[in-house]
Amino acid sequence: MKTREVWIFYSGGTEPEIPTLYAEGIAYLHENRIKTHVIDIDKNPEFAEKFKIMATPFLLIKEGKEEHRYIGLVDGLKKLISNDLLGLSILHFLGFRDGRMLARNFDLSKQKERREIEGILKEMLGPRGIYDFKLMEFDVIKARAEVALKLKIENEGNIKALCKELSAFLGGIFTEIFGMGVMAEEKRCMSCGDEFCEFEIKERVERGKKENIAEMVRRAIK
Amino acid sequence: MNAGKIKEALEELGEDYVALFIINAREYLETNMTILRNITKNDATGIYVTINRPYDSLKKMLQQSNADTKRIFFIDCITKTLGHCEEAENVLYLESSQNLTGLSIAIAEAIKALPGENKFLILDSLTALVIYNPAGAISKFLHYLTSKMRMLKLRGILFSIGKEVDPKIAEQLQQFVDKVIDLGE
Repeated sequence: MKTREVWIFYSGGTEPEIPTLYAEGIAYLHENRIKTHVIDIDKNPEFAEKFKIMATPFLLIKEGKEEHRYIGLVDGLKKLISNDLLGLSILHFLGFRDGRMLARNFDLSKQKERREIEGILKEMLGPRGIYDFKLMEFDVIKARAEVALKLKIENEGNIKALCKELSAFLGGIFTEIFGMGVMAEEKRCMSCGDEFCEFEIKERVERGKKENIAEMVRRAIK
Repeated sequence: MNAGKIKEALEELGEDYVALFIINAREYLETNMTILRNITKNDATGIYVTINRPYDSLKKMLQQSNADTKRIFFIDCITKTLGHCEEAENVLYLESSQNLTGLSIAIAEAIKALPGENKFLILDSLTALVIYNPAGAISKFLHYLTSKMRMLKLRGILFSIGKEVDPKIAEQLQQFVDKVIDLGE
């Protein structure tokens, strides 16, 4: 098996927040014994030259003699950490946070009209390969929304994985809009032959039978 | 590694307390294990609330340490969100970490049912809780949780991964906890 080594390059001068923003992902790599180097190229310009880094943040994966190079950190991290539940939870966390930050930048919490929000979201999501975005239902009081969208992707098989990330991302966006914690759940998916991917966004309530928690604790700890 | 610093800090805190540990993400694993090894001594029983680390992964991590996990009950707020769930005797899976009322009730019921006098509660982590919930809801929850811990004379530990917490919440937290132990540098 090839040994993996990861190099993360960032500029401490213009993006000092990078190590903090991706702390969970970096910690995952350490925990899984993947040798990881986080390099501030402002302090160590010789590394930028050595590895031919033209833009930051940048992620480089070395597997034996192979090199995989990524501008930005998300795509590279996805490749490295999406194989287990912990990795998926980190990607969910990063996607949700990304959604919240983006909505904050667009000051979406001040918009309450469906059409205005739909317009802004269309503009926001376009560069991310999402098109034909429709905000079908929007109720601020009930903190509930329904959206439909299409994904621009080359490989059909990736739709399902992308939708999981998108679900976290939308949850983050609408948590900012509604001012309360909501999650997005996919109801229809292009990977199942549907014309659009559709998501319902609302507060997630407990499902299934109510557990007797005290009884569970007594059974588990004697 | 901060093993000595952690042990010293826990000893200084005394019998019952509410403490915030600021952890460096890269040292999360070792720091967490050290705290657990110390806090589970003397037949202590406790609740471990995990916001963003699935129980399955936590269990594997703890199996590598010498912490006595048979005396810990876990409340997992992420596994169901990801669409997974593997039943186990000592874990309660909640739909998400956003139902803070449901989480408060679950914690209160679990604490009451814990046997013995020597009890603790760990919240892992504040960083994740802040991402999934608006600041106002977090403040109310933390006020409730820390009051509950004091009332029931628990040892309460809150983890924060790095310092990425909303400044308003960070300010309020200073009032809720007895001590902030910064291991993040």
